[in-house]
Amino acid sequence: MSELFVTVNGKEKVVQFINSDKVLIDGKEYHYDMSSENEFHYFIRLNKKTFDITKVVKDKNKIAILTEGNYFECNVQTKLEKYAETILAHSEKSHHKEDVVSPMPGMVLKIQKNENEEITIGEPVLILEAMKMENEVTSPYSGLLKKIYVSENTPVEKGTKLFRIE
Amino acid sequence: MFKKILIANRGEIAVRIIRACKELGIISASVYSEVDKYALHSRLADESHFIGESLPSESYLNQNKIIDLAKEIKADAIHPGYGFLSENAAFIKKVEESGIVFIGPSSRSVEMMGSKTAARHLMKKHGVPIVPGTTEKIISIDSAKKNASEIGYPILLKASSGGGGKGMKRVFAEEELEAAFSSAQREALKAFGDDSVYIEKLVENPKHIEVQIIADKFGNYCHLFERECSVQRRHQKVIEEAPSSFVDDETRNRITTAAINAAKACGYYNAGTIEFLMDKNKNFYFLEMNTRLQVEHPVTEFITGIDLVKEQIKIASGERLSFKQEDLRILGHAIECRVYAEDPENNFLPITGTVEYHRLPSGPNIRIDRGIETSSEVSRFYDPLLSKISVLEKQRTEAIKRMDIALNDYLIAGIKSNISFLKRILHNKKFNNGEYSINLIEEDLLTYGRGDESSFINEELENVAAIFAAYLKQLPKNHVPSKKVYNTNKWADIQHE
Repeated sequence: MSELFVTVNGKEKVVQFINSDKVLIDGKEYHYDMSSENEFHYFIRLNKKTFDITKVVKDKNKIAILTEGNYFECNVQTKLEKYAETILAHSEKSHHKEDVVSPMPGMVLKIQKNENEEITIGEPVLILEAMKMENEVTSPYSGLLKKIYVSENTPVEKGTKLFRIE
Repeated sequence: MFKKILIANRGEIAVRIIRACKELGIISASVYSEVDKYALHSRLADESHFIGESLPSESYLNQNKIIDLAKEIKADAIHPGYGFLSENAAFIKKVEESGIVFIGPSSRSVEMMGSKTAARHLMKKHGVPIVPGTTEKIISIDSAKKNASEIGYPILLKASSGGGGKGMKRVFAEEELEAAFSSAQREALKAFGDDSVYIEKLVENPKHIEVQIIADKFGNYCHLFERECSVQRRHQKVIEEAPSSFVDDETRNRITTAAINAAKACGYYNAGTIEFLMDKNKNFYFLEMNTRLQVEHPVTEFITGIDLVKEQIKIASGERLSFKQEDLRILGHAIECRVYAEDPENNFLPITGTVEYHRLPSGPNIRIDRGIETSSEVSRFYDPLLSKISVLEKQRTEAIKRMDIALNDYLIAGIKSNISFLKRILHNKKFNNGEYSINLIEEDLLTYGRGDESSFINEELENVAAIFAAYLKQLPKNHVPSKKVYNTNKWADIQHE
């Protein structure tokens, strides 16, 4: 079977299933077995030890799992997907143009920046109130605050566009 | 004794109170909001009653609805749990006037302790040490500036009716004051309906030590030793333990005596907690009194063997305390971890969703308090606390180990939780040697890659994660995993013969 490129909490590993009980990880061979109780609870045997694993969330190639008290954020790509991503990244000259969305439902309490203002990474743009606490929403990139989509004292849902950085 | 108790709360604490009612042979009546119709607390109670829409103000905070319902179903008493209406003096007064017993202190005691400024006044008068600062509320930014410079920076702005870190802001210099002052006022108004704010000197790098007290209506007061709750984030407790490894016998004597004096000062009965800040020289200052059952009460129950909720109910019904101070001893070391639906890697934002799968740890002296199980909804309406794990062992080091293993056994799917963050704290060096303050999380645990994880994340675990992620990627869409676990079950073979 073909290679899969998996990042585990940012660390890249190449996984290749040979057959139903052999797998190569970064070229090294392991014996494995897998079973499951349901769609969310799996058992993986690796050599002599069995691990309980839960699938926390799965969104396309992104998979979050919990095993032995540890969360692992994984991203899986086929060779083709990885190649396509590399090409795309080059074509965009790694220039960030991105809408920042609300991480949670809440209320926009205060907007601290103006449109067309230059901001640096980590700088707070607005205050979002949720669960009766005020949370600063900061810019994930340095750049130009091209647009603010929301106004003060308006409720937002999770995923609502807040502002755009270019 | 009461025949029926209405539990005006939800989640794990409602479940905890239902259990105590059952053990005492009292009918438990729970209330539920729209989203909580089939929540665990609605299902476990002997009776459950719809109380209103999902917004807390329509349901668990709706005073008149709760009191009317209590009358209608002929409940003798109301247990408020923690949060919601538990420390609302006006509500307690209404309950008292309705002829129903409130399981907690009198409205008068709550009122005396409810305003932090008034409580500071009272404590000062009764010789309980308080943090230097104002005992009156601050009205204007000008008077805030004046008071702050008199007290000396750094200072802490606090909501008079506050709790749980809401309306609380640290200010290190005058230029930060104006923004912090208005933010604190806004938060206080939203959270408590009162924008009064006052100023305290910021005690640098203190520990949070609190004393559990309990008193009956006959003037018998006991303390159940101290708890240490220094592991906090934005003044929300994360890990609590009892006793504190920092407190020696002499300090324990002084602080528990102060706590009982504080309780006596407001004519307190039922269970309550007096919170203190303790500096590195073991000087302590009164912070506030929580006039209710605490989230972290299980650690005290573990080390004393006393069931605080049953004791609360008995006291409210007019019984005397079932034990004396000299009967109490510290039986071991207990730790509690609060498991929250939140994302520590993303500024601890609360997470909502469905619990798709839930497996709890178990073993000797491991206790779980929970309000959720598989298929439970975690909604945005309420606190994101999923469950509490508490452990008891002889010594602190062994208790930490037991907790670490318990966290390894905890499985939860569908929503992310703070489980691995809790593990990082348990493996933190300062946490282990006891040399930490309430700033531990902010100073030590918000940046990753300092090596805390290396003691428990190894290559094997990462490989397992990689195999699993790759496996899920290759599954055809809509694949339902086959159940092949029990294919070597000899009982099945026998049945087929």
